[in-house]
Amino acid sequence: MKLNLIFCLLLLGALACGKKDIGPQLQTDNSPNSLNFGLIGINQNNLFLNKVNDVTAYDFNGNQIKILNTYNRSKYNSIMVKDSFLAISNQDLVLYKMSNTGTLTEVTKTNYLYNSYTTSDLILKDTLMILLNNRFLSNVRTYYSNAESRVLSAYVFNNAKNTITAYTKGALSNLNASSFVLYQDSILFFMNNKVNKCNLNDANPIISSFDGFNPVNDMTTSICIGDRLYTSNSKTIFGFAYANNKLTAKGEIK
Amino acid sequence: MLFSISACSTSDDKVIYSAYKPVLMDNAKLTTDVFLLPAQENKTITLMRQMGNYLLALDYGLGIHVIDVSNPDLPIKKSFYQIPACIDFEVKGNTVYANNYRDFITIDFNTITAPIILKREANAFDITIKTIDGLKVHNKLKELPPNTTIISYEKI
Repeated sequence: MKLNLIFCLLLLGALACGKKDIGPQLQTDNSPNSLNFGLIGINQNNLFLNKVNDVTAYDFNGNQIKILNTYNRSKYNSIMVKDSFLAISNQDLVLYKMSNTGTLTEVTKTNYLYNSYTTSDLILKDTLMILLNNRFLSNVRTYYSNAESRVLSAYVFNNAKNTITAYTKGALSNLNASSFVLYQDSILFFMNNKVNKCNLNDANPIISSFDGFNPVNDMTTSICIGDRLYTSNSKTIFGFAYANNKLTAKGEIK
Repeated sequence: MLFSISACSTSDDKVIYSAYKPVLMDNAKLTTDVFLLPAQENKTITLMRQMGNYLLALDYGLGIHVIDVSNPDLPIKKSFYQIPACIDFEVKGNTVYANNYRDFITIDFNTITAPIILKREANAFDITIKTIDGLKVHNKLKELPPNTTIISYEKI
Protein backbone atom coordinates (compact mmCIF):
# COMPACT_ATOMS: atom_id res chain seq x y z
CA MET A 1 0.00 0.00 0.00
CA LYS A 2 2.78 2.37 1.02
CA LEU A 3 4.71 1.45 -2.05
CA ASN A 4 1.71 2.23 -4.20
CA LEU A 5 1.36 5.62 -2.55
CA ILE A 6 5.04 6.39 -3.08
CA PHE A 7 4.76 5.30 -6.66
CA CYS A 8 1.74 7.56 -7.25
CA LEU A 9 3.49 10.54 -5.66
CA LEU A 10 6.56 9.98 -7.77
CA LEU A 11 4.45 9.56 -10.85
CA LEU A 12 2.58 12.79 -10.12
CA GLY A 13 5.90 14.49 -9.55
CA ALA A 14 7.19 13.26 -12.81
CA LEU A 15 4.06 14.40 -14.59
CA ALA A 16 4.29 17.80 -12.99
CA CYS A 17 7.86 18.00 -14.18
CA GLY A 18 6.68 17.12 -17.64
CA LYS A 19 4.32 20.08 -17.78
CA LYS A 20 7.14 22.41 -18.60
CA ASP A 21 7.99 20.33 -21.65
CA ILE A 22 7.42 21.89 -24.98
CA GLY A 23 6.52 18.48 -26.26
CA PRO A 24 7.81 14.96 -26.24
CA GLN A 25 10.37 13.87 -28.76
CA LEU A 26 10.84 10.38 -29.99
CA GLN A 27 14.32 9.02 -29.72
CA THR A 28 14.80 6.48 -32.42
CA ASP A 29 17.34 3.77 -32.01
CA ASN A 30 19.51 4.59 -34.96
CA SER A 31 22.61 2.93 -33.68
CA PRO A 32 24.69 1.21 -36.33
CA ASN A 33 24.17 -2.46 -37.00
CA SER A 34 20.75 -2.40 -35.48
CA LEU A 35 18.07 -4.34 -37.27
CA ASN A 36 14.77 -5.92 -36.64
CA PHE A 37 14.31 -7.82 -39.85
CA GLY A 38 15.52 -8.03 -43.43
CA LEU A 39 18.33 -10.51 -42.87
CA ILE A 40 17.18 -13.25 -45.22
CA GLY A 41 15.58 -13.04 -48.63
CA ILE A 42 14.36 -15.84 -50.84
CA ASN A 43 13.17 -16.39 -54.39
CA GLN A 44 12.52 -19.43 -56.55
CA ASN A 45 16.21 -20.17 -57.03
CA ASN A 46 18.21 -18.93 -54.10
CA LEU A 47 18.49 -17.56 -50.63
CA PHE A 48 20.00 -14.15 -50.08
CA LEU A 49 21.73 -13.22 -46.87
CA ASN A 50 22.25 -9.72 -45.60
CA LYS A 51 25.68 -10.44 -44.17
CA VAL A 52 28.24 -8.39 -42.34
CA ASN A 53 29.45 -6.40 -45.31
CA ASP A 54 27.71 -7.89 -48.28
CA VAL A 55 24.68 -9.57 -49.73
CA THR A 56 25.46 -13.14 -50.65
CA ALA A 57 23.44 -15.66 -52.65
CA TYR A 58 23.10 -19.17 -51.18
CA ASP A 59 21.69 -22.41 -52.47
CA PHE A 60 18.92 -24.14 -50.57
CA ASN A 61 21.42 -26.44 -48.89
CA GLY A 62 22.82 -23.43 -47.12
CA ASN A 63 25.98 -23.13 -49.22
CA GLN A 64 27.36 -19.82 -50.42
CA ILE A 65 27.23 -19.25 -54.16
CA LYS A 66 28.15 -15.68 -54.90
CA ILE A 67 28.61 -12.28 -53.32
CA LEU A 68 26.19 -9.99 -55.10
CA ASN A 69 26.83 -6.68 -53.47
CA THR A 70 29.19 -5.22 -50.92
CA TYR A 71 28.68 -2.24 -48.69
CA ASN A 72 29.93 -0.57 -45.58
CA ARG A 73 27.37 -1.20 -42.92
CA SER A 74 26.78 2.00 -41.04
CA LYS A 75 23.04 2.17 -40.61
CA TYR A 76 20.20 -0.27 -40.69
CA ASN A 77 20.64 -2.47 -43.67
CA SER A 78 17.85 -4.73 -44.63
CA ILE A 79 17.21 -6.69 -47.78
CA MET A 80 14.14 -7.84 -49.60
CA VAL A 81 13.97 -10.27 -52.46
CA LYS A 82 11.16 -11.16 -54.77
CA ASP A 83 11.61 -12.98 -58.03
CA SER A 84 14.43 -11.23 -59.85
CA PHE A 85 14.34 -8.11 -57.71
CA LEU A 86 16.58 -7.39 -54.78
CA ALA A 87 16.13 -4.31 -52.65
CA ILE A 88 18.78 -3.14 -50.22
CA SER A 89 17.88 -0.57 -47.66
CA ASN A 90 20.41 1.53 -45.88
CA GLN A 91 19.52 5.15 -45.47
CA ASP A 92 18.11 4.96 -48.94
CA LEU A 93 16.44 2.08 -50.60
CA VAL A 94 18.10 0.80 -53.73
CA LEU A 95 16.39 -1.63 -56.04
CA TYR A 96 18.25 -4.06 -58.27
CA LYS A 97 17.23 -6.37 -61.03
CA MET A 98 19.15 -9.67 -60.88
CA SER A 99 20.26 -11.54 -63.93
CA ASN A 100 20.39 -15.33 -64.04
CA THR A 101 24.09 -15.15 -63.28
CA GLY A 102 23.55 -12.95 -60.24
CA THR A 103 24.62 -9.69 -61.79
CA LEU A 104 22.79 -6.77 -60.28
CA THR A 105 21.57 -3.85 -62.31
CA GLU A 106 20.28 -0.91 -60.41
CA VAL A 107 16.76 0.12 -61.32
CA THR A 108 16.39 3.78 -62.16
CA LYS A 109 16.43 5.64 -58.90
CA THR A 110 14.10 8.43 -59.69
CA ASN A 111 10.99 6.47 -59.07
CA TYR A 112 11.78 4.57 -55.96
CA LEU A 113 14.29 6.50 -53.93
CA TYR A 114 12.96 6.97 -50.46
CA ASN A 115 14.60 7.82 -47.23
CA SER A 116 13.76 4.47 -45.80
CA TYR A 117 15.78 2.77 -43.11
CA THR A 118 13.79 -0.38 -42.97
CA THR A 119 11.93 -2.45 -45.46
CA SER A 120 10.11 -5.63 -44.82
CA ASP A 121 8.38 -7.14 -47.74
CA LEU A 122 8.47 -7.15 -51.47
CA ILE A 123 5.64 -8.66 -53.39
CA LEU A 124 5.55 -9.08 -57.10
CA LYS A 125 2.15 -9.44 -58.61
CA ASP A 126 2.38 -9.82 -62.36
CA THR A 127 4.27 -6.70 -63.28
CA LEU A 128 3.32 -4.85 -60.15
CA MET A 129 5.70 -4.57 -57.28
CA ILE A 130 4.77 -3.62 -53.80
CA LEU A 131 7.15 -2.75 -51.05
CA LEU A 132 5.74 -2.96 -47.59
CA ASN A 133 7.63 -1.26 -44.82
CA ASN A 134 5.14 -1.34 -42.09
CA ARG A 135 5.89 -4.46 -40.15
CA PHE A 136 6.80 -2.58 -37.05
CA LEU A 137 4.63 0.47 -37.64
CA SER A 138 7.65 2.68 -37.71
CA ASN A 139 8.00 5.87 -39.66
CA VAL A 140 8.85 4.18 -42.89
CA ARG A 141 7.36 4.37 -46.29
CA THR A 142 5.75 2.15 -48.78
CA TYR A 143 5.33 2.39 -52.45
CA TYR A 144 3.75 0.43 -55.20
CA SER A 145 5.06 0.64 -58.67
CA ASN A 146 5.22 -0.98 -62.03
CA ALA A 147 8.63 -2.57 -61.78
CA GLU A 148 8.87 -3.77 -65.33
CA SER A 149 8.41 -0.40 -66.91
CA ARG A 150 10.24 1.16 -63.98
CA VAL A 151 7.64 3.81 -63.73
CA LEU A 152 5.93 4.71 -60.51
CA SER A 153 2.36 4.02 -61.30
CA ALA A 154 -1.01 3.71 -59.70
CA TYR A 155 -0.31 4.36 -56.05
CA VAL A 156 2.19 5.82 -53.68
CA PHE A 157 1.73 4.79 -50.10
CA ASN A 158 3.30 6.97 -47.52
CA ASN A 159 3.16 5.15 -44.23
CA ALA A 160 4.18 7.48 -41.47
CA LYS A 161 3.04 6.58 -38.01
CA ASN A 162 0.19 4.43 -39.25
CA THR A 163 -0.98 7.00 -41.72
CA ILE A 164 -1.17 6.08 -45.33
CA THR A 165 -1.67 8.54 -48.08
CA ALA A 166 -2.91 6.94 -51.24
CA TYR A 167 -2.50 8.84 -54.45
CA THR A 168 -4.62 7.58 -57.30
CA LYS A 169 -3.83 9.26 -60.52
CA GLY A 170 -3.99 12.63 -58.96
CA ALA A 171 -6.77 11.84 -56.55
CA LEU A 172 -5.69 11.92 -52.93
CA SER A 173 -7.23 10.17 -50.01
CA ASN A 174 -5.99 9.69 -46.48
CA LEU A 175 -6.32 6.39 -44.75
CA ASN A 176 -5.29 5.25 -41.33
CA ALA A 177 -4.00 1.80 -41.92
CA SER A 178 -1.63 -0.25 -39.85
CA SER A 179 -0.85 -3.17 -42.10
CA PHE A 180 -1.09 -4.51 -45.61
CA VAL A 181 -1.19 -7.88 -47.21
CA LEU A 182 -1.57 -9.21 -50.71
CA TYR A 183 -4.70 -11.38 -50.70
CA GLN A 184 -5.81 -13.14 -53.83
CA ASP A 185 -6.08 -10.35 -56.39
CA SER A 186 -6.11 -7.50 -53.94
CA ILE A 187 -4.06 -5.60 -51.44
CA LEU A 188 -5.78 -5.41 -48.10
CA PHE A 189 -5.25 -2.42 -45.87
CA PHE A 190 -5.94 -3.07 -42.24
CA MET A 191 -7.65 -0.21 -40.56
CA ASN A 192 -8.57 0.39 -36.98
CA ASN A 193 -12.15 -0.58 -37.59
CA LYS A 194 -12.21 -2.19 -40.99
CA VAL A 195 -10.14 -3.53 -43.80
CA ASN A 196 -10.07 -1.96 -47.24
CA LYS A 197 -9.08 -3.65 -50.43
CA CYS A 198 -7.58 -2.56 -53.69
CA ASN A 199 -7.99 -4.94 -56.62
CA LEU A 200 -4.76 -5.24 -58.57
CA ASN A 201 -6.41 -6.53 -61.71
CA ASP A 202 -8.27 -3.33 -62.22
CA ALA A 203 -6.60 -0.91 -64.58
CA ASN A 204 -7.52 1.84 -62.18
CA PRO A 205 -7.67 0.16 -58.79
CA ILE A 206 -10.26 1.57 -56.51
CA ILE A 207 -10.05 1.23 -52.77
CA SER A 208 -13.22 -0.21 -51.31
CA SER A 209 -14.16 -1.62 -47.95
CA PHE A 210 -14.77 -5.17 -46.88
CA ASP A 211 -17.82 -5.88 -44.84
CA GLY A 212 -17.93 -8.11 -41.84
CA PHE A 213 -14.48 -7.48 -40.49
CA ASN A 214 -14.06 -7.32 -36.77
CA PRO A 215 -12.02 -4.40 -35.53
CA VAL A 216 -8.47 -5.38 -34.73
CA ASN A 217 -5.83 -2.90 -33.79
CA ASP A 218 -2.07 -2.89 -34.09
CA MET A 219 -1.72 -5.36 -36.90
CA THR A 220 1.86 -6.30 -37.36
CA THR A 221 2.03 -9.09 -39.89
CA SER A 222 -0.28 -11.02 -42.17
CA ILE A 223 -0.19 -14.03 -44.47
CA CYS A 224 -2.63 -15.78 -46.77
CA ILE A 225 -2.81 -19.56 -46.87
CA GLY A 226 -5.34 -20.92 -49.28
CA ASP A 227 -8.54 -18.98 -48.86
CA ARG A 228 -7.64 -17.99 -45.34
CA LEU A 229 -6.09 -14.83 -44.11
CA TYR A 230 -4.07 -14.89 -40.90
CA THR A 231 -3.13 -11.63 -39.34
CA SER A 232 -1.51 -10.85 -36.03
CA ASN A 233 -1.64 -8.00 -33.59
CA SER A 234 1.45 -9.24 -31.76
CA LYS A 235 -0.11 -11.51 -29.19
CA THR A 236 -2.99 -12.96 -31.16
CA ILE A 237 -3.17 -14.41 -34.64
CA PHE A 238 -6.62 -13.93 -36.15
CA GLY A 239 -7.94 -16.19 -38.86
CA PHE A 240 -10.41 -14.99 -41.50
CA ALA A 241 -12.19 -16.60 -44.40
CA TYR A 242 -12.98 -14.64 -47.51
CA ALA A 243 -16.12 -15.25 -49.50
CA ASN A 244 -18.65 -13.10 -51.29
CA ASN A 245 -16.64 -10.00 -50.65
CA LYS A 246 -16.72 -10.60 -46.92
CA LEU A 247 -14.08 -11.46 -44.39
CA THR A 248 -15.47 -13.68 -41.68
CA ALA A 249 -13.63 -14.21 -38.41
CA LYS A 250 -12.59 -17.82 -38.04
CA GLY A 251 -10.95 -18.10 -34.70
CA GLU A 252 -7.91 -16.89 -32.85
CA ILE A 253 -4.53 -18.44 -32.14
CA LYS A 254 -2.96 -17.27 -28.89
CA MET B 1 9.39 4.48 -11.94
CA LEU B 2 13.12 4.96 -12.47
CA PHE B 3 12.11 6.12 -15.84
CA SER B 4 9.91 8.89 -14.41
CA ILE B 5 12.43 10.00 -11.81
CA SER B 6 15.24 10.28 -14.28
CA ALA B 7 12.95 12.10 -16.66
CA CYS B 8 12.78 14.95 -14.17
CA SER B 9 16.42 15.12 -13.35
CA THR B 10 18.06 14.95 -16.72
CA SER B 11 18.21 17.20 -19.67
CA ASP B 12 16.55 14.68 -21.96
CA ASP B 13 13.19 14.93 -20.24
CA LYS B 14 11.37 15.47 -23.49
CA VAL B 15 12.51 12.19 -24.89
CA ILE B 16 10.14 9.29 -25.27
CA TYR B 17 11.92 6.02 -24.85
CA SER B 18 10.86 2.59 -25.94
CA ALA B 19 7.90 0.87 -24.33
CA TYR B 20 9.96 -2.29 -24.36
CA LYS B 21 12.68 -3.65 -22.13
CA PRO B 22 15.33 -6.18 -23.08
CA VAL B 23 14.98 -9.94 -22.73
CA LEU B 24 18.38 -11.35 -21.86
CA MET B 25 20.10 -14.67 -22.31
CA ASP B 26 23.42 -16.04 -21.14
CA ASN B 27 25.95 -15.86 -23.91
CA ALA B 28 26.81 -19.52 -23.43
CA LYS B 29 23.25 -20.52 -24.33
CA LEU B 30 22.74 -18.31 -27.34
CA THR B 31 23.59 -20.89 -29.95
CA THR B 32 23.18 -24.05 -27.90
CA ASP B 33 19.61 -23.65 -26.68
CA VAL B 34 17.99 -24.19 -30.04
CA PHE B 35 15.36 -26.88 -29.59
CA LEU B 36 11.72 -27.85 -29.73
CA LEU B 37 9.50 -26.99 -26.77
CA PRO B 38 5.82 -27.54 -26.07
CA ALA B 39 3.46 -24.97 -27.56
CA GLN B 40 3.87 -21.54 -25.98
CA GLU B 41 1.70 -18.45 -25.77
CA ASN B 42 2.39 -15.75 -28.32
CA LYS B 43 4.34 -12.76 -27.08
CA THR B 44 5.23 -10.63 -30.08
CA ILE B 45 4.49 -12.14 -33.47
CA THR B 46 6.42 -10.27 -36.14
CA LEU B 47 6.56 -12.60 -39.12
CA MET B 48 4.55 -15.50 -40.50
CA ARG B 49 5.37 -18.01 -43.20
CA GLN B 50 3.69 -21.09 -44.61
CA MET B 51 5.30 -24.53 -44.55
CA GLY B 52 2.89 -27.00 -46.13
CA ASN B 53 -0.03 -27.40 -43.77
CA TYR B 54 1.74 -25.45 -41.08
CA LEU B 55 1.78 -21.80 -40.24
CA LEU B 56 5.13 -20.76 -38.78
CA ALA B 57 4.94 -17.63 -36.67
CA LEU B 58 8.05 -15.90 -35.42
CA ASP B 59 7.98 -14.64 -31.87
CA TYR B 60 10.46 -11.81 -32.06
CA GLY B 61 13.86 -12.94 -30.84
CA LEU B 62 12.48 -16.03 -29.16
CA GLY B 63 11.65 -18.62 -31.79
CA ILE B 64 8.99 -20.05 -34.07
CA HIS B 65 5.50 -21.24 -33.21
CA VAL B 66 4.49 -24.29 -35.25
CA ILE B 67 0.74 -24.21 -35.95
CA ASP B 68 -1.15 -26.89 -37.83
CA VAL B 69 -3.66 -25.19 -40.13
CA SER B 70 -4.62 -28.27 -42.16
CA ASN B 71 -8.10 -27.70 -40.80
CA PRO B 72 -8.30 -23.93 -41.15
CA ASP B 73 -11.34 -23.78 -38.92
CA LEU B 74 -9.41 -25.46 -36.16
CA PRO B 75 -5.78 -24.34 -36.09
CA ILE B 76 -3.72 -26.25 -33.55
CA LYS B 77 -0.53 -25.05 -31.96
CA LYS B 78 1.82 -27.99 -32.08
CA SER B 79 5.07 -26.75 -30.64
CA PHE B 80 7.54 -23.92 -30.27
CA TYR B 81 10.99 -24.09 -31.80
CA GLN B 82 13.23 -21.92 -29.68
CA ILE B 83 15.82 -19.92 -31.62
CA PRO B 84 17.45 -17.25 -29.45
CA ALA B 85 17.67 -13.79 -31.04
CA CYS B 86 15.88 -14.93 -34.18
CA ILE B 87 14.43 -11.94 -36.01
CA ASP B 88 14.05 -13.28 -39.52
CA PHE B 89 13.42 -16.57 -41.25
CA GLU B 90 12.37 -18.00 -44.57
CA VAL B 91 10.98 -21.33 -45.68
CA LYS B 92 11.60 -23.52 -48.73
CA GLY B 93 9.82 -26.86 -48.78
CA ASN B 94 10.27 -28.28 -45.31
CA THR B 95 13.48 -26.40 -44.63
CA VAL B 96 13.66 -23.31 -42.48
CA TYR B 97 16.45 -20.77 -42.84
CA ALA B 98 16.87 -18.49 -39.86
CA ASN B 99 19.25 -16.35 -37.94
CA ASN B 100 20.21 -17.60 -34.51
CA TYR B 101 21.65 -14.38 -33.15
CA ARG B 102 24.57 -13.80 -35.52
CA ASP B 103 24.64 -17.31 -36.93
CA PHE B 104 22.82 -18.54 -40.00
CA ILE B 105 21.16 -21.90 -39.49
CA THR B 106 19.44 -24.32 -41.84
CA ILE B 107 16.82 -26.48 -40.14
CA ASP B 108 15.22 -29.63 -41.52
CA PHE B 109 11.54 -29.75 -40.53
CA ASN B 110 10.68 -32.91 -42.45
CA THR B 111 9.87 -34.51 -39.13
CA ILE B 112 7.82 -31.79 -37.55
CA THR B 113 8.25 -33.26 -34.06
CA ALA B 114 12.02 -33.46 -34.36
CA PRO B 115 13.59 -30.67 -36.41
CA ILE B 116 17.29 -31.04 -37.12
CA ILE B 117 19.86 -28.32 -37.63
CA LEU B 118 21.54 -29.26 -40.89
CA LYS B 119 24.02 -26.44 -41.13
CA ARG B 120 25.31 -23.55 -39.09
CA GLU B 121 27.41 -20.67 -40.37
CA ALA B 122 28.83 -18.77 -37.44
CA ASN B 123 28.80 -14.96 -37.45
CA ALA B 124 27.12 -14.62 -40.82
CA PHE B 125 25.23 -11.60 -39.54
CA ASP B 126 26.35 -8.55 -37.64
CA ILE B 127 23.38 -7.48 -35.62
CA THR B 128 22.15 -6.22 -32.34
CA ILE B 129 18.52 -6.76 -31.57
CA LYS B 130 16.47 -3.63 -31.91
CA THR B 131 13.40 -2.61 -29.98
CA ILE B 132 10.14 -3.43 -31.70
CA ASP B 133 8.92 0.14 -31.71
CA GLY B 134 12.26 1.40 -33.00
CA LEU B 135 12.85 3.60 -29.97
CA LYS B 136 15.82 3.69 -27.68
CA VAL B 137 15.87 1.86 -24.40
CA HIS B 138 16.53 4.02 -21.39
CA ASN B 139 20.07 3.62 -20.17
CA LYS B 140 18.95 2.41 -16.77
CA LEU B 141 17.10 -0.46 -18.39
CA LYS B 142 19.84 -1.21 -20.85
CA GLU B 143 22.61 -2.09 -18.44
CA LEU B 144 23.41 -5.72 -19.02
CA PRO B 145 24.72 -8.24 -16.50
CA PRO B 146 28.06 -9.74 -17.51
CA ASN B 147 28.04 -12.38 -20.22
CA THR B 148 24.49 -11.75 -21.34
CA THR B 149 23.01 -10.64 -24.65
CA ILE B 150 19.74 -9.03 -25.59
CA ILE B 151 17.71 -11.56 -27.57
CA SER B 152 14.35 -9.85 -27.64
CA TYR B 153 12.20 -7.14 -26.05
CA GLU B 154 9.06 -7.31 -23.97
CA LYS B 155 6.64 -4.61 -22.98
CA ILE B 156 7.47 -2.77 -19.79
